[in-house]
Amino acid sequence: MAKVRERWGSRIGIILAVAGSAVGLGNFLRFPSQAAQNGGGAFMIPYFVALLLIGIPLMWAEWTAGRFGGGFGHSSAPGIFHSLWQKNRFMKYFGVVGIIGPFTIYIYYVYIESWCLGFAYYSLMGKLNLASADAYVQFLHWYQGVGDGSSLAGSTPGIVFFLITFLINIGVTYFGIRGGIERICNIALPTLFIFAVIIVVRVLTLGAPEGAPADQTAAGGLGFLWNPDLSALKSPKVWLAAAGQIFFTLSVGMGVILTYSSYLKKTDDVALSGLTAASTNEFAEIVLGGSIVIPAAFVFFGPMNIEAIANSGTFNIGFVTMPQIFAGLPGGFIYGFMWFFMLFLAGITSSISVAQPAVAFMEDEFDITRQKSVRIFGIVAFILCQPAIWFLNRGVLDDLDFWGGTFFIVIGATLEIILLGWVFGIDKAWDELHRGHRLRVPSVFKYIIKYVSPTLLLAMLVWWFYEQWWKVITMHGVPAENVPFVLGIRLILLAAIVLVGVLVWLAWKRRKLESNA
Amino acid sequence: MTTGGWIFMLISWAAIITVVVFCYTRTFSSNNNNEEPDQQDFSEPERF
Repeated sequence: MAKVRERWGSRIGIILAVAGSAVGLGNFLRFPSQAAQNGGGAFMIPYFVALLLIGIPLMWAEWTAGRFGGGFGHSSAPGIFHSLWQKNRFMKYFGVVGIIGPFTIYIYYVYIESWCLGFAYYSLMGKLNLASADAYVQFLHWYQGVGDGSSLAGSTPGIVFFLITFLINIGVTYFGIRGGIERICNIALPTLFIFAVIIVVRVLTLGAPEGAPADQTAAGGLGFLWNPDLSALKSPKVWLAAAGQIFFTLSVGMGVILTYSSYLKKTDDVALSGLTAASTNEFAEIVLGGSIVIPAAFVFFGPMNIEAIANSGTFNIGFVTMPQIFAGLPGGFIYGFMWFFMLFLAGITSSISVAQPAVAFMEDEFDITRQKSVRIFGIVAFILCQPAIWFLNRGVLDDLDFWGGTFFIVIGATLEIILLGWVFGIDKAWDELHRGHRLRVPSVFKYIIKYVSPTLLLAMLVWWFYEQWWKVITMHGVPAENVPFVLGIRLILLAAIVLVGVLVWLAWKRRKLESNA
Repeated sequence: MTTGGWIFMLISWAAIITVVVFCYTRTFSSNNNNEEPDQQDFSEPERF
C-alpha cells in the first residue's frame, strides 16, 4: 500500500508558510541597508529587474519541481532532482546542496533569532532604556558574550533565550506540516504584519525632533531611500547587490520551496500560490521594511549620520540603532517589544522552513517517522549550533552565513532552473506549472525560465568564481587568530556534505532492493 | 524627498499592493480542489 503523505490543510496555509519562509530578518534589516547603500531609488530599478528575471521565475520553477517530485514521494532536493532526470543516476547527489544549504542556515539563524526574543523581553521589561549610544553597543556585546577579552563568546541570558528558541523550533517541526508549520504560520504571519503596520504608522508620523531642521522628518528619510540617483545604475556592484537581495529575500534556491510544495496534491495550483507568496514577501520588504529603519534613523540621527548607519550592518541597525530610537518615544518599550517580537516571528517562520528539507529527507528516503526524524535532526542541529554561539567573535557565524546564505543558494538555484528548463524540458515544465492553475502565467516567462534566468545565474556564478573564489578559499581578510575556527567550521560543513551524499547513496540502494523484492 | 522620489515610491507601492490584492482576491475566491484523493498518481513509475 502506498504511503499516505502529509498534506497542507489549505491553500492559504502553504502560501503563508512559503511567505513566512521568505519574510525574515533580511526584509526589515538587510533590505533598507542595501537600498540606502546602493543609490537609494536607483537600487530599486535593478531590484525589480532581478525580481522579474530571476526571483519570480525561480519561485515558479521551485513550486513546479517540488509538486512534481512530491508525486513520486520525495520531499527533498535529492529525490526531486532524481524525479526530474531519472535517467541520470548522479543527479540526486547534486540535491545534497538542497539539504546542506538550509541546514547551514539553520545552525546560525536560530541563534540570531533568539537575540530577537531576548531583546523583546528586555524591551518589555524596560531594560533597553539606556543612557548613550555606547551603552547600547555594550548591551549587545554583553548579551552576545563578546568584547570582554575572553576567547569564548556566549552569555547566560543568550544561552537561555537560545534554548527557548531552539525548543520552540523543534516543537513546531515535531508537529508536522499541518499541525506545526501551517498552524504557526497562520498565526505568526498576520501578527507580524499587524506589528509591522503599527510600527510603520508610528515612524511615518514622527515629526522633526526639538531643535532639528524642519525637514528632518520621516518623509526626508523616505527620500534617502527613494530619491533616484540614476548614476548608480552604471555600477555592476549595484546590480549584483540587487540580485543578491532578491535571492536572499525570496528563499529561492535553498530547497525550502521544493520541500513545502512537495506536500501539494498534483492538481493544486502553483502558479497563483507562488506569485501570492512572492508578492506577500515583497509587500513586507518594500512597503513595510523600507518604511521603518531608514526613516526612523533619519529623524533621530539626522541626514549627516544616516549613511554611516546604513553602512553599519544589519545587526547594528537592528540591535543598536532601533532600540535607541524606540527609547526616545513615549511608550517606546512597547514599540521596542513589537519590533523585536516581529523580528522573532519573521525569524521563526524562516527557521522552521530551513529545518524541513533535512527532516523530510529522513522521513521519505529512510521511512523514519516524523517524530524520530525530528529527534535526530534536533540532536545534530543542537550540537552544530554551538560553534556559532561560542565562537561568534571568531568569524564562524559570518562564514556560515556566506556558505548557507549566499553560495549554496546560488548553486542550488542554477541547478534547479537548468534542470527544469533544459533537462526536464521547458514544454513539460510549462504544462506542469499550469496543472490545476488558477493563474495563466504570461508566455514570456517560458523564455525567461529557459534562457534569461539561467544565463543571468551562470553569469553571476562565473563573475563570483573569477572575483572571489580564491580569496574565499584562502580566507583572505580573515584575521590570523580566527583562521583555525573558520577552517574548523568549513571542515565540518565538508564532512556534512560527504555524510549526506553517503545517505543519499544508501537511500537509493535501499529503494532499489525494495523495488526488486 | 524630491518629486521624482515620491512618484517612484508611490508607483512601486501601488504596483506591489495591486499584485498582493489581486493574488489574495483570486486565492480566496477560487474553488479549492480538496476533493482529490491524497494518493499521487503520476503515470510513469520511478527508475532507480
